[in-house]
Amino acid sequence: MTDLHIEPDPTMGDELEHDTATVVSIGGGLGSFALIDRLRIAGVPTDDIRVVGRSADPTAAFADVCRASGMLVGDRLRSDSAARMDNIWGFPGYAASEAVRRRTPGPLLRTLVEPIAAQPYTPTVGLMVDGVTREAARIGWTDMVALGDAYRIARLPGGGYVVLVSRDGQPDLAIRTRWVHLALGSSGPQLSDVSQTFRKHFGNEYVVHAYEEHEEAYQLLRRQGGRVLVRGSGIASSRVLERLIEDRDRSGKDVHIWQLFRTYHSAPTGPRTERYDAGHGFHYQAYSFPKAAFGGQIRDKIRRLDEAERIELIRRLGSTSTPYRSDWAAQLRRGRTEGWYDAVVGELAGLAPRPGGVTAAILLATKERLDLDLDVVIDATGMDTTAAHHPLVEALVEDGLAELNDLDCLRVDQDFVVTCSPDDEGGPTGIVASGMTAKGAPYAPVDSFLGLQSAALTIARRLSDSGVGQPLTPLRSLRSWWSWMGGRSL
Amino acid sequence: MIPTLAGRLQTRLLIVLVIDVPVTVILGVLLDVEASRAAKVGLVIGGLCLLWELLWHSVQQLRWDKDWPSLLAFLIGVPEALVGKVVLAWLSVLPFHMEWGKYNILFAASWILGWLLQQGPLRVLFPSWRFEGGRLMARRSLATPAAKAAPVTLVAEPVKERVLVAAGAASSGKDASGSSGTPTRRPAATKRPPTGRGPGKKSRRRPAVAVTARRRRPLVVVVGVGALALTFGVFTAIGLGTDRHGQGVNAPADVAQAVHPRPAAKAPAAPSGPKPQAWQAPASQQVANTWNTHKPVQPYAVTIPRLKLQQQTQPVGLTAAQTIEEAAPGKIGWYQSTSAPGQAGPAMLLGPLGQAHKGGVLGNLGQLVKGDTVLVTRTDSTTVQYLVDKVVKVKSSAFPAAQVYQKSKSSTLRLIGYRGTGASAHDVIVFATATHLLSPKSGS
Repeated sequence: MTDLHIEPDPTMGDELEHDTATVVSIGGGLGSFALIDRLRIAGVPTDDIRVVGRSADPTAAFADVCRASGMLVGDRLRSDSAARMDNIWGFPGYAASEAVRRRTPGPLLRTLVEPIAAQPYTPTVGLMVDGVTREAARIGWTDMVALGDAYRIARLPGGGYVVLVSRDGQPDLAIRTRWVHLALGSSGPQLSDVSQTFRKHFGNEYVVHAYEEHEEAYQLLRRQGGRVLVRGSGIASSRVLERLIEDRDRSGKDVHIWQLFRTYHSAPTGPRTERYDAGHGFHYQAYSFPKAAFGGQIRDKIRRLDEAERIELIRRLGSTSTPYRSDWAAQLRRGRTEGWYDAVVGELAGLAPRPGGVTAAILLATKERLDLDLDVVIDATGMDTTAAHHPLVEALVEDGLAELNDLDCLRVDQDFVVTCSPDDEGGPTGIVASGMTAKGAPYAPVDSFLGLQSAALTIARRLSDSGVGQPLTPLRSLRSWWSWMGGRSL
Repeated sequence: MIPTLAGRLQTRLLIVLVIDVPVTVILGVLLDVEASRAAKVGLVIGGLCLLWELLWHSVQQLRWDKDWPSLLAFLIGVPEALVGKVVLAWLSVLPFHMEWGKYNILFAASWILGWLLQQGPLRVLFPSWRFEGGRLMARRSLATPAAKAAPVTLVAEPVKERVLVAAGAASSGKDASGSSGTPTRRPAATKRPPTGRGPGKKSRRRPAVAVTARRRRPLVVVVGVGALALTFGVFTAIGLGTDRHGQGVNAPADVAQAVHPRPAAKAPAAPSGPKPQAWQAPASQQVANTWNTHKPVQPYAVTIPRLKLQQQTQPVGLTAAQTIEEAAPGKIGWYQSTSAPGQAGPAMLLGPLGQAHKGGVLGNLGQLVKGDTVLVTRTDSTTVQYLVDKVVKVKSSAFPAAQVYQKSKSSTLRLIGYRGTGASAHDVIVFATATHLLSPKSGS
């Protein structure tokens, strides 16, 4: 193998520190956690693994988003009991843990009869975060973390890769590795051009985003009432609406809520076998994708399609939707009858400042123009899912190490491999990606808990084929599970 | 887990083998059902399940999101249980007097356990199971429309310019660790298993892009056909085992035998040679071709000319355990719930096989062949003359109850000799039809 030494970037003026690993996972969030957990379970030692991220806590980024969107420890996620991040087997599920904690069989029974006889069980933020924190400690997460930003991945001439990490107050770190895993997550909230332009000129006091800290907007409305526009009709918007209505009821102030739909779903649509549930503008769906996309017939179908068809189907199945919850539907029903909730269908054409607020120009679906004087605009259009916006991905594509698909995310094969090539000795090395970074992969819900775990299993199997870690055979799986149950450190 | 067809079949097959059969056998033993019979119950239930899965899969297609909730997966047990009952009765795996309550317990127990297993524990053994629609193992890559191999060849150049300086051959590697101060270590290559293993195994020489053809559709079909064949095989096996001598329940016994001479009909104890022994009624007896077949007359004794055997009979009923009572030593039992000899319908007479001094009353019953004569003398001094239709030897666990108890307008005889206990128990069953009634001539 060609040995090489790495010269520091002259502009940095610092020396490089060196490190070696077999697998480097970049991201350091839940995507990294899922894969590393799986690798550690199958016996890969901590010395062979490096995790590059901004936080030593794998739940940090997730918890930040939850907090920003106003979700507290006890609030429920849009997820399944078995989609258990800290347990690759999904057994026992979150429902069982909650049942034990609360000393009631309720959650467990609910999982057995959902979604026919009860609304689906969903875990709380607290359950999820606690579980991952405990599992991270068990697998020795902190021993593997290298805090910093990975800014470059380069292929070594002899095979393998080097990952360059910039760190605060320390020289850059160069980690040589055989495998690089990218799970970069979202680069932030998705702001429309209109909102972005407005915020650039007038600040973000009146135009806030559901996934950013926006508590002040609620406080303002609680104090003096007012008119608020909520953009979007996904899970974020239903969370915002719920909060607004709760505040309205508690404060007794007159808050008028406008909701801007891009597409208004008035009734269930589609043919008998592809029908989806909808009503009052919302497209109702328990999870971000139909359940069979997580591991059933739709998952098989997506696996079989070629990329263009696949992305088309992923777009269609994963279109904006929100789970139907009876209490929340009742709130909106009350709003409609009492006249303080209005649905508007169209596009936001422009935002202009006015004293103490903002005027929104809306281009209605009927081609008419509607001007609304508002106190606050809450953008609930979701997260930015474009991996290409991440500088590291940009650099990879520029270097020809990776390609982008039509969703502007990394193109991966069935095993989530971005690129794979043998080194001088013939052993495989490569780059793999999971999570939002690999959107468009042959697995639709890549950025869900289950999607991360499914990708982790697939990638780890590919790695075990190349001699990194062990395959998770039934016996080894049972043994690992047993030690998980016993809480024994790895 | 949201099942796919292949996943359904794989999972169900696993559950049949790991749960259904063992659970029915163990519970069967506890409930006093013979193990082999209980195992058959398990297999029939399981085999049927594979057929059911085909139906459930079609039902699933009607659900827009192809979802299959746990509750539904549980409730489909009800129709499966009911149909299973009908099929078991039809295959006569379960004897007449087995209470269906036991069946319900067997079914419910194996069903609930199998269902619970699918709610989680199965994932512990097969982590990919839930992502693969119920397939036990993860599938290997299919065709990969993704990444071309191109990037790999392109990479070295731009990289070298910007950040890296290749020091050339390995020999020059150690001299200048450059300005970094930290010695450049070899990558973890040394830690991983020697790559020398690579060339031998094709999995390690996997090309950058796996190009496996799309072969999944045919595979699903193959799995489906395989499951059907397996189900069919299970039923055939059970059907043959239960009703080994093959006549359909409705087919007249002699016709079937003429068409399909079965090896067992020749009976191991009666090699193909022996011819039926003719028997001539003594002159003292008046022979009649017809008689009153409605009048019940108790039997008094059984005479088998070929075996030179004559034994008294005794009416027997059922014991508390729902088995037929044994007659007093030296006597042949007549199961009084069946017809009386000479009456329309089957008369069932039974006793232990073997020689008289060892407690047997029916001697070497298996030596009888088709065409032999059996006589049953009744308490009114008349004698019914029977002609043997066939002689079969079966394991007691596979007792062809339906055939033995089969109703008929003519008067028939079922002479049953039994031997052994437990798994080695076996029966010799002589099927015979009454041909004449002998009555003493007046004055004799």
